[in-house]
Amino acid sequence: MLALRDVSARYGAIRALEGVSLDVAPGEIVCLIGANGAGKSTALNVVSNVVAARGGEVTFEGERLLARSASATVRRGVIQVPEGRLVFPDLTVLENLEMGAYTQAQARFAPTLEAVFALFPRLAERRKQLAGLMSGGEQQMLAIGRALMAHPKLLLLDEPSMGLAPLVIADIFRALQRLRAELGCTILLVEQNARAALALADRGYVLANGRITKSGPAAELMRDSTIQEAFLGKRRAKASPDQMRSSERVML
Amino acid sequence: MTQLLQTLLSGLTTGAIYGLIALGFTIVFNATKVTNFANGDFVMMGGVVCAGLVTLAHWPLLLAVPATIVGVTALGAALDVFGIQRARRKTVLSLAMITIGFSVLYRGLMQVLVGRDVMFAPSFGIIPDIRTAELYVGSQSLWILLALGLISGGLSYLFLKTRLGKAMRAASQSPRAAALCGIDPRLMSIASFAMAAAVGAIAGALIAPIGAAFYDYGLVFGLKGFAAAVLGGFGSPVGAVVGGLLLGLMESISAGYLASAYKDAVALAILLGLLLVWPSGLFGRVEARRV
Ligand SMILES: Nc1ncnc2c1ncn2[C@@H]1O[C@H](COP(=O)(O)OP(=O)(O)OP(=O)(O)O)[C@@H](O)[C@H]1O
Ligand SMILES: [Mg+2]
Repeated sequence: MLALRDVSARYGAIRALEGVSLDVAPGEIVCLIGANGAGKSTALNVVSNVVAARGGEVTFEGERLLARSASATVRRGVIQVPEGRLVFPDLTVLENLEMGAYTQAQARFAPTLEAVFALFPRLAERRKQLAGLMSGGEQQMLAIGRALMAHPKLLLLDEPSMGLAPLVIADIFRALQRLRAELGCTILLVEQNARAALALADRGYVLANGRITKSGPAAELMRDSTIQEAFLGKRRAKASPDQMRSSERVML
Repeated sequence: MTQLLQTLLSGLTTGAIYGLIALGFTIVFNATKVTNFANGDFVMMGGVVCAGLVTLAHWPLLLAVPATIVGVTALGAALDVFGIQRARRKTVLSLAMITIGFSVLYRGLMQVLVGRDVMFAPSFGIIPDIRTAELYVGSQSLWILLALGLISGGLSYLFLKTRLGKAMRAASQSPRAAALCGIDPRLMSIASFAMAAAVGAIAGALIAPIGAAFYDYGLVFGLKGFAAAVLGGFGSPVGAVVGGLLLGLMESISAGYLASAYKDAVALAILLGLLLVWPSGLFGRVEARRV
């Protein structure tokens, strides 16, 4: 469905991606894991055409995707949920969802909204609230809901677990599972939280310094000793104070 | 008593002019977060082009006004296309500098095209003056008040109810997220500058019959409109209107009861005082962000 072939990207002198190739088949959940600055977000932004590639080829359903406009990419059904959620803070929840449906026909709005509210009942309760005043978990649900309003064929998710408490992360990941089961979404998931991502995904790729260093079925990667060392073990020790802080905030 | 009433009425007209100018700041700010220092020159050009077409080219007013709106709108869109979009680094400061540069450019352009004379355009007419034994409100003042009501109402509707208006606000709050929704932030930016220029052109054409048109008036228009927008709360169409009317009233009261030489200083002092009490303006929202 989506194929990257030998894709490179740079910011000035910084090489962010070097010869990245990866595939996502229809109905799959594929995860892309890697440390800070590995180039994960850059990869998604190249696919979304908000960052220009230096070389290589991106195809979606057999058609070239590179060098189109961001809005043309959205119209083809490739929708990104950006890192840090980027909800529109001074618009209400409902208005944020309307913006997600910007490329869609007005007639589809009501039924799609109903489906999103069924998936995230919290958004229905808060529909009149300004998005900037919601909790981190609620904002992440809104960011995903906003993307769903555009009827994605392929959903690109950039670190949906960032800064959230473990319980909230579990909620979000359950919602992703339902997305595939009920709406037939194909998902490319970028994560630093490798454990949660590999548990959800069918296959995974590991990105380091702009290159793909490993790939394979998720269960296999989970058992891989170098990955366990690099992401799973270390990640847990490093993340715990951070997670405590974020769970405190959610309880407040 | 009637003197007070008459003072208030003339303040209302001045205030309505300030409100119209403030609306231009509001539109651009809502769609781009840019403070457009060339906004006063949109108004200036509206007056100069309209008065020039009528007095120099002898066009009928009915033709001159629409032509002015079209021309100034195009010049406003040019500020976005050739200025804002070309900026290498889009910081608040560099974008503000670009608008100041265009302000100078517009002034020069009007000098070359229309000249350096102070011009007056004929009144719009049609609406009759209101005259009683003691009070007088001119027809042109009524036109200005009417325009303020219609335009501010239209803009409130646009930004709060329509998909385009919400998309403009979304693009200013997060250009990246807007692009990922399929909204083209550049298109929103051009649209906002064009709309602000159109409103400025209308304001200028309305002011020209009573306040004269001159290539150098842009700065004063801009300052007064900016003050009104700040007073009302930057970004709120209702705030722009209320801020403008309030500023006009304060000025005319201080001109009527103190000395007209002090009116700007008094109005400015009151403005600063109010901002100390309400830092985000009367209708300004404290930005909705969790820290
Ligand atoms: N706009 C930018 N300008 C310059 N350099 C950038 C820019 N965006 C990213 N980079 C650099 O490109 C490299 C890859 O960044 P990217 O954001 O893709 O990493 P990432 O894997 O998403 O990291 P993280 O997990 O922290 O989000 C990094 O070295 C980063 O510093
Ligand atoms: Mg990233």
